[in-house]
Amino acid sequence: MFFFNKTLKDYDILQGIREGDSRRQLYENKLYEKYHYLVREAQFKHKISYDDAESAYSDAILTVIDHVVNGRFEGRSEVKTYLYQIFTNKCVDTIRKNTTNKAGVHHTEGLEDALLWIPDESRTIVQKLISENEVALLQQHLRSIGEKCRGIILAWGEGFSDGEIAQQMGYNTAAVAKTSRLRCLERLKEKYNLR
Amino acid sequence: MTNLELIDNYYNNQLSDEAKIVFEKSLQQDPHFASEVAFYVQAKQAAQKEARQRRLAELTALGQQQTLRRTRRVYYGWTAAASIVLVLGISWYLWLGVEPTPSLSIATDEWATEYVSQNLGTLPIAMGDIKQDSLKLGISAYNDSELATAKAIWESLYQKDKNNPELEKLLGIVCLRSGDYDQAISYFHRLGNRTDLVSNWGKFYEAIALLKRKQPLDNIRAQNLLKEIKENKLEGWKEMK
Repeated sequence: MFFFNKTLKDYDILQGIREGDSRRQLYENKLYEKYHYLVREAQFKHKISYDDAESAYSDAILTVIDHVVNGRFEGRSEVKTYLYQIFTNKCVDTIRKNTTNKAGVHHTEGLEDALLWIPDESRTIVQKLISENEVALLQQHLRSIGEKCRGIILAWGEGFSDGEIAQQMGYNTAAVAKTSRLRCLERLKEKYNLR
Repeated sequence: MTNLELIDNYYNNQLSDEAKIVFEKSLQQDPHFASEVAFYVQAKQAAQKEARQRRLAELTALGQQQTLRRTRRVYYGWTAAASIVLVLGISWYLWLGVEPTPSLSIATDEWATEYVSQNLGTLPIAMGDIKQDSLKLGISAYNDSELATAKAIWESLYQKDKNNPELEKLLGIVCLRSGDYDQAISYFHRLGNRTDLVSNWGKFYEAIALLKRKQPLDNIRAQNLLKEIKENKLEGWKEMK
């Protein structure tokens, strides 16, 4: 079994993550475990707590996974070098957060990505309607729509296609998964509108 | 088709070019539709954030497990190493100066019991007036199976003459017959260590007493003594043929 192989090569791990099937999470965990020793190094190098270093490491791993999945990581450098750079930046963020309460310098997530789809003239209209506070509120509502619904919405949030969601969550087809996902989104909208 | 489905199709690039134009026009003209799009965008963002937080928690738990496993591995490693060192240390201590020897087939409790019953049931007594010689008086009592009397007589004599090898031997024998193996071993050991005697049964009798006592390592010690007796042809070596 591949996951008993402790010396899984970076190439195999990246392939496993890119393939995006139900085993993707196992490959992600492998990547996490492979370079976990960097946590201890960072703790001493940056003089931060072990918990902070571990949290920064988890964050860095997720960023690397995002970059692998969306093709931003092109493999021009070693995975370890790439991860190390991002992890170092996350540690610097943590130090900043601890000293000045300013965080998220390297936080790349944003609503902008989603808005880029919409043409300029329409974008402003949507832009006026959305805010980070509303996103936080929706996050809260996501916890009250039932486990199954939450699971399918989070899988969608992680970037899984309807086909992958069907495979992971036991739906017969991608179309059934899509219908369920949209139904769950409707439920979320109802909760959101009821506030 | 619901609005959400329409928006989803738009974001998944599943609309025709004409449908896309209609979609974007509706977005500009219909505030309700615009709010639906805003909801969709925010919901996706919320799902991404929530999924990331969940995954962060999972990975952090994985890291903690890994740290725990590593700590356990180190702990077990040190425990195993400490156990080996401890076992070696105890073995070294117990065996220090005691050269292990191949097992002697005769060195058994049964053999010792038989030897005692055949050879130490009665003791030879020299000619002469028994009443005038306390040593002989003790032997007489011993031969009459009055072991306590014999022991008391010899102990009384031994108090006055602690350098008497014959008394050490007799006291050892009577203790051996009485089942007081500790005391017997003590007398025989003292006797066996003497170097001023032409004939010394101390080591042989000590081996017999050790076989009878049967405490841990007694058998090994007895075997070593018997091996020494056999190799150096000390008193008793013929008994082992």
